[in-house]
Amino acid sequence: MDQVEITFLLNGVTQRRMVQPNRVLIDLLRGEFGLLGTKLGCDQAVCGACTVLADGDPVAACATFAFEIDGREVRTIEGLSEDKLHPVQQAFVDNAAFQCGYCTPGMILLAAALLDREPDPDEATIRNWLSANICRCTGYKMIVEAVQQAAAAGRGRGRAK
Amino acid sequence: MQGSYGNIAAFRLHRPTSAAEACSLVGELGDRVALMAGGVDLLQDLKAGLPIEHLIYLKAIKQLRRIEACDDSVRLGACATHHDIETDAVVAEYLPSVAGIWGDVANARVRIAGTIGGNILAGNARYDGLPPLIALDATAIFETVAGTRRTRVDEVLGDRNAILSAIEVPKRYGRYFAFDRSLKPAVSVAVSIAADRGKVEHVRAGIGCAHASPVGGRLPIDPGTSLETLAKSSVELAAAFAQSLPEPIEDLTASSAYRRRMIALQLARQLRALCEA
Repeated sequence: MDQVEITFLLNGVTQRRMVQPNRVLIDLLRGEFGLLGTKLGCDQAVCGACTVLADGDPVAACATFAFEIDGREVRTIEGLSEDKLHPVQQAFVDNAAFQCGYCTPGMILLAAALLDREPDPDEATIRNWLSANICRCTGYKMIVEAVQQAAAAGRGRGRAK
Repeated sequence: MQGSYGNIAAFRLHRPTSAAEACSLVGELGDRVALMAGGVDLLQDLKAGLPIEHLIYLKAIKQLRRIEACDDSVRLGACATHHDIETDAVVAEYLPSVAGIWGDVANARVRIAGTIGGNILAGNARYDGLPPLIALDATAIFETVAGTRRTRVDEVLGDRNAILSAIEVPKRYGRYFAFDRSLKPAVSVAVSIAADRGKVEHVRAGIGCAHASPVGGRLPIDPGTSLETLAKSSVELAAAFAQSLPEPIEDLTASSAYRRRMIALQLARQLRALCEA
């Protein structure tokens, strides 16, 4: 199998790698770069635990080939904010919007992408958007409240990448 | 645990830059070829063991993602994502009801990655792509090495030597269109009315979830019928249409009889609502 060369921006740093075409993005992020905040859940692009941002869009890293990110900008939870918690991360802390925490990186990246597009979403929009990801602990109430807090405070604005 | 890519068979990657190049590759590479756009279904199939030797990646072909207005239709590139359809200005102008409904397809991640072509080629009776397109009387455009071929949108499966390049949706159905998915996975019902100045030209319906693949077609309406008359006869029309369909499937979700009854009910309600809007 011929390898393919990919060049991409990962959490603000240019990376160049040779990858097998059948290598999936989550394996590249976790195995090659040690970015373990990207969680493998269902491995079927359903649960959203593996959500990362590609050019600001939420994508399932378990259902994306590594070659697909050639030329793109990828942001994982480790690179969402540089020196302090991202406003969405802070809102999750303030609202205790997690229990086991396994879904949290994906939820936060998904929420950051929403607020990047719609700084002041209503609750229905938030719930529609967050329906892409699954949490089996919180029942979603605190997660929605965290996103509302981040939005209401005018936080979470600015490109999440 | 890091992932499961090891389950995916090794393949050779091809990244054509035009539909013509992709067609040539399909013709050259034989049977064990997979076409990939959004990859929403394909990656799961590959993880499940689908054996391929070649993967042709279509998403980088810009012409396949283009959405444009033609004389009487809107042309949706097969690699246009659900998000593209939801937010595109051309769709909003000519098919406003379609744009609104597409924002509820699947979820945000799938809408961003998944394509309209991949949705209908997946052949999944529960997917939301085909029933609306059947109701909208859409046409599928295929590119082959021999040239362009057009077919009804519900006849797209089965040709492994062609590239689905676009879906054409007539503008005349853009105003009166509705899609009820509230009873999924038992049934989903899409309906569209082509009407001019209050007079009905055609009424079409597309039914999902209730058969092995989505079905539908035209309801028997006399051209020139007023919207008011159509609203009054909606119950009888919908019942007759539901009765004319093939026997719905029977499974743990719903019985065949229930599905047929709900098709009639949802169709009648939507017809009346569209006529009275």
